[in-house]
Amino acid sequence: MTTEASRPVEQPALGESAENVIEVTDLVKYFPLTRGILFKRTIGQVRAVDGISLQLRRGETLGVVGESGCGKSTFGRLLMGLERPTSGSIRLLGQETSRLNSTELRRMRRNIQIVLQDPYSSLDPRMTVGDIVGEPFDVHADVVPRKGRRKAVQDLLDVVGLNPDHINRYPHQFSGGQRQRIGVARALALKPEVIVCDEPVSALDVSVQAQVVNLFEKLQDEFDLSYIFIAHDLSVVRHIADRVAVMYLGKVVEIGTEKEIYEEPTHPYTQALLSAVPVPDPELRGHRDQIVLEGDVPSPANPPSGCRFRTRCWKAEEICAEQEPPLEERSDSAHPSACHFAKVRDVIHAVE
Amino acid sequence: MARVDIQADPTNLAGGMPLPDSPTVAVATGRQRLVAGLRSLGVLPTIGLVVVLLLVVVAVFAPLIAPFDATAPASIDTLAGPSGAHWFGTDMYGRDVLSRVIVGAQVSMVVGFAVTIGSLVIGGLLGLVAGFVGGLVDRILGQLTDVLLAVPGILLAIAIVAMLGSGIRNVCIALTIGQIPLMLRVVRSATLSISQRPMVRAARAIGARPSRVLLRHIAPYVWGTAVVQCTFTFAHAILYEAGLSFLGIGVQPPEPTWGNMVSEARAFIGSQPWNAIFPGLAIVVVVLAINLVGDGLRDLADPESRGRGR
Repeated sequence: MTTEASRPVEQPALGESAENVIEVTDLVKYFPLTRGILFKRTIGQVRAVDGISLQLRRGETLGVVGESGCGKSTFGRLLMGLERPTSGSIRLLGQETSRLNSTELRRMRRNIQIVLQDPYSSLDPRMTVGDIVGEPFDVHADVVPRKGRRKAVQDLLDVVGLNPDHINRYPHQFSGGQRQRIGVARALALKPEVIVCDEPVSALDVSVQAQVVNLFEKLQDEFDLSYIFIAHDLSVVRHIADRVAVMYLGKVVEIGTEKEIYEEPTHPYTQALLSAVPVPDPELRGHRDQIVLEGDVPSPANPPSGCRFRTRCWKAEEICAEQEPPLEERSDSAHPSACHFAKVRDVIHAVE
Repeated sequence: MARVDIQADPTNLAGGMPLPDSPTVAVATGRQRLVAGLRSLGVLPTIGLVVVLLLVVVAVFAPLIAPFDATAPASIDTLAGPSGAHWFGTDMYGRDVLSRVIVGAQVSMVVGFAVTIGSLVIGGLLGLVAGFVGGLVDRILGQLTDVLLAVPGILLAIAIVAMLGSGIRNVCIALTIGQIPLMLRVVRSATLSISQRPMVRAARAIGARPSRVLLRHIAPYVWGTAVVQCTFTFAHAILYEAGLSFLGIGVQPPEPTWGNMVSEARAFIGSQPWNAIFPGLAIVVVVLAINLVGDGLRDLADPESRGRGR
């Protein structure tokens, strides 16, 4: 779409020296809408991901937030090579991954792994924990010799805080939090550089969420991992992320450090999202700056012209319908923000 | 067949019992597992299973069990009613109806098993491929299925037998062709829904080859559905074989089948009804029994449908 305009601006503040493990440029994924039974023809396109450019640095956690249907999960699947991008480029450790053949793709998966949202449906109920965690070794037979696999699996279980003696148990014998640990152990098996966490704690009880998030942080230090942490829970993301990208309708509307996004948000959508986070203190409830958005998210098959958020934005003017605001630093926004009228508004602390 | 399915059900890894905490306790003897399996199958399906197994035994040992020769005419005692010597009476050639029903079970069982295995292998594999590969392959197979299903089953069978000629082998081929689309559809839709499960995406994410994903992570879950469909295929095959024999284009007399026995008995149905009743009853009982087993297995495979049918 706006290839030139949406090129991101690097932030010198956060380590020019840090190596990028992932570089995404103008990534686009359209899903065709088809009609017809034997001979299909395309009648439209769902623009799930529409021009994303960002970087993930080594050892960093990049939070990706946005509401349901904004394309954040599709973005994660594109990174994993589970979907082929319509256009754009993904470089993983310097290697272009978007046009690999299946053998190269299999090799690439040693460097990037995924933890899926639902620990109940993502583990094969007929396989034992040992089979589930050890399956990557079966697929990539040269990683660990056959004899050492059982030991390797037990080590992995130990690392994620499970009892290695439970290797012969089945997933249904574990709680939700333990099951997610199994999923994490499996993702760690191939010693990847990057782990895409696709809403890894959304399906868990709040009390268990913190344990799993802490596990992610511990593993990051231990194995020098970089995370793409996809979530809709803003407080979880704030806890774990170093930088945060806010998505709306297939585009990144604002990106910056955790502090910049949460305390100095400049995009109206980010401000609205943050103002919707529940206030834990009942005394303060109702006193905070609350932004209630009108209407629904427009269909990604037929997005609005110009700025995609303009249909629900209280700041929208004519220019918003005519010109798409590029994601860049602006006079009133120290970090990249895709709004013509970007301006800091502290919604979290604002109290009348 | 039934025991395989019970084990294939993921909630039944220890034969219907919740797994105890320590894995060492989970060793159950074969008999305990069988009892537990039958208990979770339910009463009526168990009765159906017993009836079917009895019939299989009868069919296998038919020549030994049958008290009289099933094909040689014995003109002394034609069209006699049930008696101590001839429990089911005799037919117009004086042949013992009980012996003919027993020997006729052979044809029904052979056709039933052959058609079931044939449509499971061909329809099942095509269904797996259609559901997994999708795209053009799926669309072409789907259209072919629709075309075959648009023709009434018995008409299709008649047409194919008319082309190939009668005889038990051709009847099996004709009925298999008729059953393949049903199996294909069921397996395809099960494959499609299982392919959408996150665990399949998880397998792809670690780099598993499509063959591994299909065989390790999808096929085992389709198996339960396919076995249930098999029981219905089996019942259909027996019914259609009886229909073809009744119409005179299936297995030819004097070889007894339940279908041609009923057909021959038509002329005397007013005066000597047992000639038609006993083979007819045999068809009803075996089809009912198989369907009961199928219902029980379906309930096991899909606990949500449990209770609705009972």
